[in-house]
Amino acid sequence: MWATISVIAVSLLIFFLEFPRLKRKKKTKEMWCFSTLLFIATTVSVLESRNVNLPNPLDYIQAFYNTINSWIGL
Amino acid sequence: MDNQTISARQYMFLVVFFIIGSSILIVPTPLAAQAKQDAWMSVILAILFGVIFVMFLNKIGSLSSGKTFVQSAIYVFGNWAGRLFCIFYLSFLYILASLVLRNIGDFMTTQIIPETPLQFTHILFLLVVIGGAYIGVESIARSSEIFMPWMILLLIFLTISIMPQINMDQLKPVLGNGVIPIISNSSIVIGTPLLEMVALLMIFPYVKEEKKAKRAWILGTVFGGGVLFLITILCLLVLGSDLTALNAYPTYRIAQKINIAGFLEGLEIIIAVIWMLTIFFKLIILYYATSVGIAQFFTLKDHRPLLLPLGMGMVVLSIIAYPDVAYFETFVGETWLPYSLTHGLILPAILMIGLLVKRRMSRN
Repeated sequence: MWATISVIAVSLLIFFLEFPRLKRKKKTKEMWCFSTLLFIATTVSVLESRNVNLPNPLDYIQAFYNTINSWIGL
Repeated sequence: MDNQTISARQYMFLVVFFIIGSSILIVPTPLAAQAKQDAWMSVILAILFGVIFVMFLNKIGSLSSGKTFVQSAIYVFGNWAGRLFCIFYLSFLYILASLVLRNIGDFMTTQIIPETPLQFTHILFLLVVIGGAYIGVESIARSSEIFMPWMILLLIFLTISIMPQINMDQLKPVLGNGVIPIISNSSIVIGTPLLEMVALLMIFPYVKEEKKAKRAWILGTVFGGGVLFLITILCLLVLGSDLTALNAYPTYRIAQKINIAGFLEGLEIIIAVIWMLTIFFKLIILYYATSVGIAQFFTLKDHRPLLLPLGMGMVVLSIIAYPDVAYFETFVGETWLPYSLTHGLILPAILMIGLLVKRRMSRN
């Protein structure tokens, strides 16, 4: 529980640290990119802190290269 | 993208740090496991390959004329195909950065601070990295100039103080298993630090004089490879090939064996500063390259707002990346070489062909 709360607190802190600066300079594109990335990162971190089994990208990489290796016959 | 420049010498130091970082921890074990007492020859072979590979990267650097990898990919392949191309490149950098973070985290938790949870080591290490990437490449390069003498001094100290325990018989029989294992095992060194150097194409345009930068890159590769060679041969000479293959961190193990005149021991933590420094610089280069790359991917003017969200994601990725040590060993042993080969050699080769065609077209 505490892990989740602190993750959300940290992401709020990051949001209020960066967002007003971007808003003052009226950088719309930066604002969107920053918010989307932060949203994704927060979601992933919250899921991780709730002990949800997240998909591991390395599994996919490994599966992909294993298939290619079996094609070539290594 | 900011208007910063670094000198050729600073670039050379960054290359050296980039090559030594994290491979100093993970390379000697698999090398000694497969090439036995001839592992040091594999490192020399790999350095030769590295020099040729750097010449190839240099060619791309000069062809793209002041553009970073991401910019020139978008310039050559257009808005959509170029961006698709960049997704592969940037995902490679991001995953590599989180794996490097995991390397130092694993090292710290197993050897130095076992009570601290892995997440906190990662967060603390990454905070410093984000701070560095926030200030920009100029300060990173200048701090590399400050830390390089420290690293060299510590390496010399390690070499001299371990001298009495060297046993030349550990290297015999030379070429006991023939030449084949030496050649096939140089792929370990090629995959871990050398092919990853494609990340440096994001920093190469910041170097002031291109001609000097090319020479600096080659020199840095040779020097960094030389340090890897020194570390590998020290491990072999002191521990022997079997013990080197059994230890997870043989370089740390030989530092623990330092014993000066019977009263000065336990100096391993001072020696461990070498790998903390080198991994710090490797991580900061990768982190900077990723964030600048993503900023250029979305054609943003500033990469700084992206740093903190990317860091949050990286902490999570670095923790879920390796569930256990066996997974790490199979991934590094079997998948890493083809993965880094496709992203470190084939992607830049495609980009180079594209750049050549584009140049010919614009000339006509």
